[in-house]
Amino acid sequence: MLFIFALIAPIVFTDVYHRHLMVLFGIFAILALSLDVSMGYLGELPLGHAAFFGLGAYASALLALKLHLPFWLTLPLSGLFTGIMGLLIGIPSFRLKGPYFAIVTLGFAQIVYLIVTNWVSFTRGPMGITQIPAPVIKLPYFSTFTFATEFSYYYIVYGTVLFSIFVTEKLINSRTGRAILAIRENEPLALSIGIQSYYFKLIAFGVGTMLAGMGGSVYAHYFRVITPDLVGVYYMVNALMMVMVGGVGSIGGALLGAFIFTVIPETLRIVEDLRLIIFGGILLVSIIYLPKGVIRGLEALISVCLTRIRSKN
Amino acid sequence: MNPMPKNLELLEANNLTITFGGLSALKNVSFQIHNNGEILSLIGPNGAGKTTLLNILSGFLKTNEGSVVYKGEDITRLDPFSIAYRGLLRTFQHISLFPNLTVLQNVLTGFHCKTKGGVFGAILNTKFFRKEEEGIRTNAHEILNKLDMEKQKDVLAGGLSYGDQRKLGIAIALAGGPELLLLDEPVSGMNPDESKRMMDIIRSLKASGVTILLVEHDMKVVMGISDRIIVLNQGEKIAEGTPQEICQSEDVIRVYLGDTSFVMSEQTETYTYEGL
Repeated sequence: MLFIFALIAPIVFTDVYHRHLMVLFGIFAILALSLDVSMGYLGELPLGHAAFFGLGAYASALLALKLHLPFWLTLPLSGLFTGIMGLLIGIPSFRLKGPYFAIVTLGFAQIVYLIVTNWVSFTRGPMGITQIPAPVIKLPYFSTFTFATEFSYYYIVYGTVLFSIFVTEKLINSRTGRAILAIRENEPLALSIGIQSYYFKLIAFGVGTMLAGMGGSVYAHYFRVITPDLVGVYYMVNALMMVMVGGVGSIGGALLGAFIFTVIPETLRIVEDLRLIIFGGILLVSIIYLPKGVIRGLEALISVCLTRIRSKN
Repeated sequence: MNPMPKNLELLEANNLTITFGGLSALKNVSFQIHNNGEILSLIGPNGAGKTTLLNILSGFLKTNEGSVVYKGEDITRLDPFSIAYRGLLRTFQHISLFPNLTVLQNVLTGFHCKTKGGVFGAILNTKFFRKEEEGIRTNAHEILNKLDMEKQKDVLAGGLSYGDQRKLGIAIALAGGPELLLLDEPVSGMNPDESKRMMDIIRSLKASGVTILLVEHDMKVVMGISDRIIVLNQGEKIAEGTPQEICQSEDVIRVYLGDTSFVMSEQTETYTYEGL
């Protein structure tokens, strides 16, 4: 039902601003989902996760501008690129136990930030990359269609979000997913029943970073301007908070987290200066009273309602 | 599963020696587990090195000296997960399961080394993937039925009672299709009823052809179901033999059993001897 609602949402809300918010929500949903694969399901904390998002945006933008590849190629290619980068980071850091993985990814994010800021001849440094082309469909005997409006781009984001949900869902509900969850739950026991934890950590992290890169690519072709800020702390903290507030280790939680983070700050614009203070307060309250995420609170609420309805009948 | 020659031992531990910072936990321990579906028990006072020995056999610890040969293959330096793939599985002394997954998911996870499905099979939902999933679901229900846990299949493992958590630990190991199963104190903390039930389960495992190495403090359980017993004391093997032989061994009585008369008598049903 939610899927159908999401499908017709931009037709219902005709306002450009609302449509922009929906696109933004979709992009953040991909970012939150990709982080949740590593954080919620694998149980590792990749502090530098947003670097993969930014890296995907840069990869996509540069592929489009330097090699003139169409969006339909830069999207999967940037996912592939960040996925491989994720594996390269994972290979040494998963050999370590404890918090080192978090620290290594944080260091990686710093390195990526320095590279995109200082390699001016290639990434244009702090000036950012502009004029990233919007996705285009060229149909024979038909006019070319450019996804330059919020309305048309929404469906690209929608498709990518669906893809991310699909991949995450299938991954988790399989033998591979069970192995990943087993590592989170109890690594020695996982080892004792034949789960090669190192290998499955790499798979989970690889999939997470791949999705993050695709999210970055979708971001780049929507805003069509990217700056090194994308790799910085802001997106990292936001992604972490989305997953924490929404609910760790659940697809719905990640989506809800992304929703909260795009919609609430915007609706609070009516109170102007107090906006961020109130938003901070809401986050605090939700973390204190729903430490396992808003989604768990909703689930509990729904199940209580259902039992009440049943007991009345 | 390779058919193995009859005369070969299922597992041979040769001169295992391990020290932890000057303290020698095992000194030159050697023994064999026969290839005839026996129940071999490992007993000894706390700190004797029983769990250390189990950790070495299952690959969690690497011995300083000596070797472990399983079905004619040297597994001394293998990782735990590849030892599991060879059909040698274990349970843990302290309750060890996947607490935030349901009982059924716990058991399904246990089938890991019996299945092959990869990431792409799952994403593309191939026929092979679906068939494999169906197969292990059926088998998982069988295992749960065998352990009387079918009713609790949708309960989170962390919410089970203590005895059921212990049983689930065994169910997870059983899913891996063990040929040799190392059980680390399966009845510790169980009440007499539960422990009796656990003895039945262990016996039925033996009947289904699983060889078992049992570490246990509960003498009634050990004497009741073991074919052979090995006694460890301070890292050294001090005795090996049938339950009768062990009960009569002077050394064993001195370091571990104390007065053994009650263990063999049938009148002391309610009393459980917990070792030194």
